[in-house]
Order: sequence, then structure tokens, then C-alpha cells
Amino acid sequence: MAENHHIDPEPPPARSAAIGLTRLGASLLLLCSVIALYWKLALTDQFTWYARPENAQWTLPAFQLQAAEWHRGRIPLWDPNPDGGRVLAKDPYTGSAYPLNWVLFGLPLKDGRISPVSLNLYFVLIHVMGAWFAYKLARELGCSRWGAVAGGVIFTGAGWFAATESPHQLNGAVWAPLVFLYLRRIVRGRAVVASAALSGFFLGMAWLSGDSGIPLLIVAAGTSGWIWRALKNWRVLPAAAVFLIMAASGGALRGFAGIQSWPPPAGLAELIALPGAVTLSLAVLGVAAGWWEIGLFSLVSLLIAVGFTGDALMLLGLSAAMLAARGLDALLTGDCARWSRGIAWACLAFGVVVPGAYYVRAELNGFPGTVDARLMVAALAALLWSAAMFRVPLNGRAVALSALGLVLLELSSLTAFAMPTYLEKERVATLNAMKQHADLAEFLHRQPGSLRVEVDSRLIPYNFGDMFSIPQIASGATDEERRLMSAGFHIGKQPTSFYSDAVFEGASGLKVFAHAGVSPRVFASRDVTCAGEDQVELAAYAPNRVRISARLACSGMVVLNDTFAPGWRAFVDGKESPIIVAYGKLRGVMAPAGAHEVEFRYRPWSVAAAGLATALAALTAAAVARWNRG
Amino acid sequence: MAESAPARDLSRWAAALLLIAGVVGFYWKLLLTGEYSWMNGDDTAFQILPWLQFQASEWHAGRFPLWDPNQWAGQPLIGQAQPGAVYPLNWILFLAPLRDGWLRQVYLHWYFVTIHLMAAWFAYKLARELGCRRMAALCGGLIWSLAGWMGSTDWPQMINGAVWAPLVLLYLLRVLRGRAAAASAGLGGFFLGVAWLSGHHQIPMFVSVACFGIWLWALASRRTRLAPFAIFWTMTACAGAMQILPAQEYGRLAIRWAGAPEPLGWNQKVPVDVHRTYSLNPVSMLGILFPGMTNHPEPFIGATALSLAMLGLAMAWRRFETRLLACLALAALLYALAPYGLIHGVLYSVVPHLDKARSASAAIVLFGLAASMLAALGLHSLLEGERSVWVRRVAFAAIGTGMFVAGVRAVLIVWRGWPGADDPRRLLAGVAALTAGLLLLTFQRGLLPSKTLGFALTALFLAEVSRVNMYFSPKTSDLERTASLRSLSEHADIAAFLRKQPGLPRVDVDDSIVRYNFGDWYGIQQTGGYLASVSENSYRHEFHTPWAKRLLGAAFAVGTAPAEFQKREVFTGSSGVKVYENPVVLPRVFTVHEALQIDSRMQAAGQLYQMRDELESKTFLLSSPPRLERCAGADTARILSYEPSKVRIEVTMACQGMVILTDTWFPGWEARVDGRPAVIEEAYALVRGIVAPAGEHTVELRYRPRSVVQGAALSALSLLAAGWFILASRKERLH
Repeated sequence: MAENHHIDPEPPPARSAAIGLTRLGASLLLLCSVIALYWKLALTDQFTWYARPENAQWTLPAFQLQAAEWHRGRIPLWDPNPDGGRVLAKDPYTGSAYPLNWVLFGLPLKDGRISPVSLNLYFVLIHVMGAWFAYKLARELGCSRWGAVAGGVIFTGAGWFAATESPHQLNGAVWAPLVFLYLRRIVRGRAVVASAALSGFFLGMAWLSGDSGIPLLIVAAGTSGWIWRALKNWRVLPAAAVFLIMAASGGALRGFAGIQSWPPPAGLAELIALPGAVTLSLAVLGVAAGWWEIGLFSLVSLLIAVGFTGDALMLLGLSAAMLAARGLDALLTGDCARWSRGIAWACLAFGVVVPGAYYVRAELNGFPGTVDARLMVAALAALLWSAAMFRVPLNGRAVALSALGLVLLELSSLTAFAMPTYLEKERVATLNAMKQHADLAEFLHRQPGSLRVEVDSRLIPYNFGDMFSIPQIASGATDEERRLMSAGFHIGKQPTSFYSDAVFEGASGLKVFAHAGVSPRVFASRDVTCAGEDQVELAAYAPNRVRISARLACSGMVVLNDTFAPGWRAFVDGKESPIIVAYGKLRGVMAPAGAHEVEFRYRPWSVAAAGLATALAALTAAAVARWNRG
Repeated sequence: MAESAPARDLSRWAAALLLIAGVVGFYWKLLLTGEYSWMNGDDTAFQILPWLQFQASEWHAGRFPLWDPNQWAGQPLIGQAQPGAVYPLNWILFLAPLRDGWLRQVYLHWYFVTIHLMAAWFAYKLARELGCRRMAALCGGLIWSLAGWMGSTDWPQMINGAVWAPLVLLYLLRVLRGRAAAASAGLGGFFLGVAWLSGHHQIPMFVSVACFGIWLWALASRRTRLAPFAIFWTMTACAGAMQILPAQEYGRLAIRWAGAPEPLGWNQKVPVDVHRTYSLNPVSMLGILFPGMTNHPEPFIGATALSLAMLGLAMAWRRFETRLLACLALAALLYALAPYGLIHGVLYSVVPHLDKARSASAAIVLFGLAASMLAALGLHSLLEGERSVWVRRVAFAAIGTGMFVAGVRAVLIVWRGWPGADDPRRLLAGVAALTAGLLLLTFQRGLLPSKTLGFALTALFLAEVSRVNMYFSPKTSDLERTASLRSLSEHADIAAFLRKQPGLPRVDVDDSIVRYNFGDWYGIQQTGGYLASVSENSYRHEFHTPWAKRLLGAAFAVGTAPAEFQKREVFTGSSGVKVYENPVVLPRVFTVHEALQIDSRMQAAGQLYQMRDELESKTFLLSSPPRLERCAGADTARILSYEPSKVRIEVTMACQGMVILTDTWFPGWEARVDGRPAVIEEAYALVRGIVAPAGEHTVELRYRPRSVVQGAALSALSLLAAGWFILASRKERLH
């Protein structure tokens, strides 16, 4: 272990520590601040974070499917509902391998569904974790508790983190501060191998979230740090190896199946949310206080965000939060007094110019009425902040509290500001539609044969199958595919050439149309003719395990019209038998004449191995952390 | 800055006279001419005036109005709170001489000005408590009373709740200073309780939350102990009990139209969306300086008051009261911005029932109070001759603002022609800012005596605020703009016709034609009404259906076209509005001999429909029905006397049955059959039913709600306690 590296001196404790904030006080302040920022979700039941199409249409149904499976005592690995079934971990938004999601799935359901309260608290918890980890990073960087609290709040309540509502992305980003925290320890030569292990493990945790873009960014940032360090001292290479092994092991359960194409920088303007005058002024003070390297890092992150991927704004947010933490310390200790004064003047100017501009606008066009005027709040905060920075007789604690209060004020008009309430019918249309479509699902559940359903995706844009645990076929299939895949029902407003018989009408006005001539879900198939009649039927159906009773007149293939994927295994009367990919994608298994019990089980060895690797990594990390502390 | 010697202060009498003269003079339109009115607003004309008129009539009839029989088949008047039935100032108004049975406009005007006089006086006292000179306190009192929310709001039940805030704060400050802590806490709590008596919960709720915050801070910083805290809140609860208890009783059994898609019950939160609708847009912060620049109530205090407040903030910052007032002003402003300020969301979520104060923007009232006191502190500092660089800074800021406004307007005039922009008052605001700045600069250079400065700034403030408060009040001769108020006098002949009809019939009023509360205004019972809330049993019954109208005895309809139920035209008023009749309704009192039970109130309307052809013989209850007998003989029932809170009925029963009075059932009504107590059943899940045995009986119903009795007792006790606290406080002061 490379413990003999040069050890950088510990950063001097900030003088602002004299202002006094205990560890417990800081924790409570941080927790209360994040809850206050997310009061809409944490303290009321009127708002939702998952109304946006990507969350409502895909994430929520995937979560719902998994929660239902967990409550049935099964670990969801295979999703049987969309178009013949798929590997659940393949899509990033499922987050099937992420431990925090397991907690969510394990919470009590309400009428068989994940409770909105649980979903809201889950979202807030992610932000509390983000704030806490950023706080720890700021402390590692030598900031006072006041500064660290401000940094934690800013990281989780501003910029990319505040503007992002995809839980898999947030879950990936939340670990970034911890990764950098331990990387920083390595740079300082403090318990290098242990720090490398922990840093790698937390990077692995980011991988488990399901997202690829954010962990890749952390990898990119971390790797550049390693390379830079290795150029100075090659002896860090073993530690780098530990880092990589732990990252790979920690994230193994997620696997690399979900790596998607590099996210395009779409919606960049939306993501570059104003951090607010107070935050910005604190960050500038942080640079002025000597943290120019982090300032440079922020600049690079911004350039990457503009040029390559908007997700790089996460790194910008983190570095800006750390700068702001340092900036507050500088203000409290009286460092950079000249800069403080200059920034105070800038804030004052901003606080005067903005109302002036609104005044001119009102003179020109009349009072704006209900226009979104968050800039006025920022101007008010800037005015008050300039007063605090000019050192209007305020003591240090008052300045710190003012800073935190004004940061919260500014961020409150950014964080969760536009979250819809359930009364905004247009904005929560998908969620309302889900409630309305429950009767359609109930009708389909009552139908025999476990037939698939095709939905008109213009009318039902969300993942109907996962939401209601009903096997579904992709819309736009040919009639042959519909027959083969047992797509006996269609949900829409009008009959189609294939589905002509309306059999049910839901409260939403949507109808269920049926087609009688589709294949059953299981059937026997053979190339030669056989005189007798086969009897094949589903005996039990669970996502990861399907049992079929087959009585074959002659030897032939028993076909289950679910998609084949590596990891599926077949057993005929308890003996393993190779799976034959029938019709190009379905699962089939050969069986001789007579009565047989055929079973398909989903047991991918990769999941078992990856699960073991992740568990080992977690144990190692825990042991290392304990040993490190000791 | 040049030294300036402290000026002589005003005498107590001069201050009092100037205060009265300031307020009375300011409201010259109301008090010195008969040509204006403060009652032109829709709510005031359509709802508040009828409430006041009904209560005045009752007081003059020697009755204390607790029940309003004229709206929605009868509703608790005191429980609705907004009529202000237990607010002492209202009692004085109700007792003022009537003219032809009507409240006189002159008294209504004096009533309105008295509220503002009280506001100014109480704020003056608070400023004095803060140590301000009388001149400064006078200025602060006028700013609070005449500017901002207080000066621009015309709902009397709201401003009645706000006027007590300075006194509450005054005694709270005494507690914080340790001056007769227990007595001061008791008096502060008492005045907060009196604010709750005013009739509207919104402002007292905001004041209560502010007080609670101050108490928490005081307890945390050990400025006070727990005992004064307990005394304060006990006194608040007791003093306000006469209104709080009946309102709570009613609220639990009522639904409220609060702006949500559906009316809300007691346990349903008023949605955040509603608060968002009734919040200030952040651009309204400009409205503190520029009149009319707001989407809800005026936050306007003007350049003069704002300059003085800034000076108060800067020059008296070291005093904890100043910082407290600054925090109060900022918190109130941010709360009023609702979705933009964090404070609203958190308080909305964690403070029980705060959601019921749906107009977040009204919290600006506390900004006005804090700003006026800061302004008083600012003027006080100037009058004391204190030296500060801030005088010059504020003067330049004011001059800069004035020049900016003038510059913008000049450009607009050149560009667009006179007047450049819609509202000329903004230019005047600029001129006022310029003038205030110049006055301060002149004073700072020693060219203006401090006393002259005080008078000049007060006069400048009055000139500024006169462009806001009452600025838009129309003349009564302006037919278009006083249409709401005038409509009240257009249907007297219809009321006279209806009063002549036998049998105490109810009337349906087409509220698109007659928009005010016709029932309360003329003392005629109607099936609907312009209310913010209604008892749930009335609401669930769908009064628009023919069977509900038949049950309630709605024989007449007032409108311009035949109603679905009342089709026969029987009278045409001079306004062109007509009366239509359907004589086939049930009498107001009748008997039934059969009853069944339904499971829930939600079934009531459906059950009424199912039984629509047998309503006169059969009823349904939410509880287990009492034993009733069926017999061949016929019953007779008639109303002997009918007063809002007391009804006497004479019945002759062939066998045991239920006497039905088609007035809303509500807790607090008591019945006696031949002097013996009897249970009142909720017949048809709506009206009152009393079981009577065979034979002749006199049934008497009285409204004696326990909540009112208990509340009155507690309020009376708190009054005695307040008297004792005043004596104790004086005694300690003498010591």
C-alpha cells in the first residue's frame, strides 16, 4: 500500500469555524434546507415530479412493474410485458440494480401501486443524499460547516441537479461528490489505496443507477485526475488499478448492457439554469480566494456542456457549489475584502437595474400581470446580499445565515418551481390518463389466455403493459405478427381492419377491440404432419419462470411466444433441454410425444456473477471504510 | 452633515388632533361630501352591506343576530364569521339610528373612517412604544392607516382584523423588553383575540403566525420565559373564542368555495394553486413605490415613506426592534409572493390551517405595518438630529429614482406623445421621490429645521397616498361605476310584493339579474345566496331541482324570464324585474308519519329525487328513525311566530308523527314540545323535524348554540382579565 506518499498538509480550518456550527447543527440545517427547497414534494401531496413524458411514460411504469414484483417476493430481472419481453436492466430508466430503488419498491403499495408519497420522498431523498455528499466534499476541501452547508444546498438545489427530473440520472450524479472526495484524499496522499477503493466503489454505485452518461463523465473527470497524478508519480498506478477494479465491481450488477449513445446536448438552454446572484457571487469569491483550479474545472465543464453533452453541467454545478462554499468562508473570514466589495457593488447594480428594467417594461406595455418574474426575486436577493456584503452591522453568523437564506430564496424560484400540481390537468395528463385506464386493464386481466394487447400509442403514450402488468405488442405490427404474438386485443377509439369487435368501453372513452383468430401464448409446432391433437397450455406464468403443460401427439417443439434472450433456460420434465429460437425470436423447446411439463427459467449467470462482484465490492468498501476510520 | 439640534416635540393633544385631522381630512370625500362611497365593490355591495343591514335590523328589533334565515334555507350567521356578528365596533354601527329601517350612509362612512382612525391611533401608540417622538409616531400612524393594504382594502371585516396588529406588537415588544411581562403578554394576546372577533380569519391568522415566530425567537434567545407565552395564547384563544368556537363548529359542517375546482370541506386543504392565484407577482414589489403597479392589493407606501423606512433601518439598525421589524417586513413581503418566496411554501405546509388564509398577497399588510414603524423610526432619528451618512445616501437614491422616472416618462412622451404611458400617477411618484430626496438633502445641509422637515415629509406622504387611496372612488352620480351599489335600491317594490304573500314563502333569485343578497337586504328568505361557504347539508341537496324547491317552499322566483319551476308571472317591478310563482310547494311547516334511514349524506339528493312524489308524507334521516305512527286522521300545523333564532309552531297530531320545519338543520337549535325538551332530527338530511305525539302541541325552536355561549363566556372572562392586566401594568409602571 502506497502510504509513504508525500502527504499534503491538512488545509487550515476555516476561521469561520469560530462562528460556531456543530456537526449536528450543520446536519439539521442541511436537511431542513433541502426539505424546504423541496417542500412541494416533502410536505404536501399536491405536486408531482414525474409528470414529464419521459418519467410518466417510461420510468413510472418500469418502477411500478418492479415494485409489484418485489411485493410478490420476486426479484425482477425480466420484463415480460413489452413486445414479447426484454431484459429489465437494459433500459437505463428502469434502475433495476440500484439499491435506493429497491427501498422504493419495497415500500408499502397503495391499491397495488407505488404511493405518490413514496415517490415524492424518494425524489427528495436523492437530493438530501446529493446535498450531504457535496457537504462532505466541501468539508474535505477544508470549508467550514457553514460554507459546506451552502455548498451542499447549492449542488442539490441549483443548476443541472435542480433542472433534472430523471431519477436514473440524478441517482448517477449523486455519487459524484464522494468519488471526488476520495480522489482528493488520494491526491493528498491520505490512505491512498483505501481511498482509491472507496472512490471506485462510489463510482460503481453511480453506474448502478442505470444511467451511463453521468458515470462516464465522472470517469472522464476522475481518469484525467489519475493521469495527471500518474504523470507526476507512477506509484499511484496500483491505487488506480484498485479504483478501476472497485468501480467495475461496484457497478457490475448494472453491467454494461445499458450503455447508450452519448447523450446529445439537447435542451441545453433549459439545463443551464441561473444559479442566482448570491450563488454566483459566492462562487466568484471562491475563485478569488484562490481556488482557481476548481474555477478552471468549472469552465472546462461548461465548455464540454456547450460542445458535447449537457450532462457536463452536473460537474459545473458541483464545482460551482464547492467554489461557493469556499466563497462564503472567504467572506466570513474577511479574505478577499476588495473582491467582496466589488461583488457587493455588482449585486447592488443588478438589484437596481432589474427593477428599473421591469419599470420601463411596465411603462411601455402596462403591468405585466402574471408574468414569470423570478428575476425580480433574484434582484431582491441581490440587493439584500449587497447589504450583507457591505457589512451592514451584521455579525458572522448573521452573514452566514443571510447567505444561506438568500441562496434558498433564489433557489426556491428555480428548484421545483415549475413542478405541476395535480390540478394542472394538461401538465399531468398522462398521470390522469393512467388512472382513467385502470378499468381497461381490469377488463383485460379478466380475459382468459393471457393474450397480448396492442395500444394506440397516440392515445396511450405510456408503457401500458408495465403499468398494469399486461403483456403488450408494439404498435405497428403486421397482422402476421399479431397472430403469432397472441395480440388478441387492441385499445383505441376506432376499430381497425384486424380488430373489429368492440368488447369493452372504458370511462375514458377508449374501447377494447378483439380479434379471435390469434395464436395461443403456447402451442406445439413441427415440420411434419401428425395425426393426433396436441394440448399445450400455460400452467403458471411469472416473469422469470414459466411453466407449461404439454400433451403432444407426436414429437415436436413447444413454443412460448415470448422473446428469447441469453439467460433463459428450458427444462422438460425437470431435465434441461436446449432452447431453440423459433420464428426468429421466440422460445421453443423440443419434446417427445406424450405428456410433459416444460419450464422456462431466467437465470443469467452474468447477473449472478455481477451480483456477487457488487456484493463483494460493497463488503470491501465497508471494511476499508471501517479500517480507514480506525 | 451639519449638526441640527433636536426640535421640540408636539404635545400629546396636538398629536391627537393632528392624527384625527389627518385621517378625517384624508377621507374628506366620505365625510365632508355625500357624493362618494367606499361601498362600490361587488363584495361590499352584494354581500357585506346586506349582512350589515340584516344585523342592524335585528339589533333594532331587540335581538342578537345569530342565525340568518334568509340565505340557503337558513345558515348560522355567527358561524360564517365574515358578517362580523360579534365584533364590538359593528355593534355600534348596528345601534346607530336607522332611516326608514335602513342603515344610513353617513354612519357607514364614519364606521369606515373610524376603522382607519383606530388603525392610525394604534400604530401611533406602537411607534411611541418604540420610543419615537410624537411627530414621527404621527407620521408612522398615518402611513400604516392610509397606505398599503390597510389604506386600499374596502372589506371591513378584513381591515377590522388588521387594525389590532399594532397593539398586539406593542405589548409583545413590552414582553420582549421585560416590562410587566405577564400583563403585557395578556394584553397582547387579548388584542389578538379581538382581531379574531372581526369576522375574517385571514389577517388575524397572519398576525398570529408572525407573533408565533416572534415568540419562538424570544423563547430561543431567552428574552422571555414560557409563562408569558402561555398567557398570551390563552388570552388570544379566550378573547377570540366568541367567534372562533362558532366558526370552527360551522366550518366542520360546511363547505367553502375557495377558488379550487370543487368546494372544500374543513379537512381539505385549500390547494397551493389557489394561493398562487391570490399571490403578488414579484413585479408588484415595484408597487411599493409606484401606485397601481400590482396584480393584487396595493403594497404602495410611496417614496416618502420608503425613504424614511430606509433611514429608520439604517440609522436604528442596532436596536433589536428595528431588526425585528425588518425581518417582519421581509418575511411578509416574501410570503405575499407565495410561489416565488420560500417562506410561503414551508409555512403553508407546516402551520395547521394556514392554508385557509387563501390570499397570500394579503400578508403584505404586515409589510405595511413594519414599514410604517421603520419610517417612524427614520423620522424620529432625523428629528433627534442624529448624524448619519445614510441621510445623504437615501436622499440621492430618492433623487435618482425621481430622475429615472422622469427620464423614462420624458422619453415616452417624446416617443409616444402625452402622457407617454397609461398611468400619470407614476410620474407623480417620481416627483414625490425627487421632492423627498431634495428635502432630505436640504435638511442634511442644515437648511431645513427638523420640525419643518417632519411636517413637510408627512404632507408629502399624504399627497402621494391621496393618488392611491380613494383615488378611484367614483361619485355616486357616476351611474356606471356605482351600478353595484345602486342596484340595491332597485327592487324594493318586488320585496314589498313578496312580503305581502302569505305562508312565509321562499324565493329563488336569479343572481345574474339580482346579484346582491336580496334576502338579507330586504329580509326575505331565499333558497340561495352570495356566500363564501354554506352548510354541507344545504350544499349536498342540489337546491336547483324542482323537488328541492318544492320541499323548501320556494313558491316565487325573481328574474326577467319564467323559471323552470316557477312559471306564472305575478308581478313586475319598476326595474323590469318580475316575480314568477308556482303555488304547488309544501308549506313551511307540515307533518309526516313515516321515516326511513339512508347511509350517507351523499345519498340525500338521490333519495329526495326518489321520494319526490311523497315528500309531504315521508322523510328520511341519516340516523335511525324514531317511532312514528300511521293513522287515518289529518294533522294541522302552522307557524305561530317566526324570528330568525326562534320559531313557534302550533300542531295538532292525529297520532305520533314528525313536525317538519323546512329550515336548515344545524347544531345549536333546541326544541321544546309543550315546554319539554325534544330532539331535532335532520329530516330529509337537511331540515328540522321534531317528533310530537297525538294531540295539540306547541313546538318551539330556539337557536342557542353552546359554542356561542361558551365562546361568549370565555371572551367576557378575557375582557375582565384584560382589565386586570391593564391595572397591573399601570401599577408596575408607577412603581
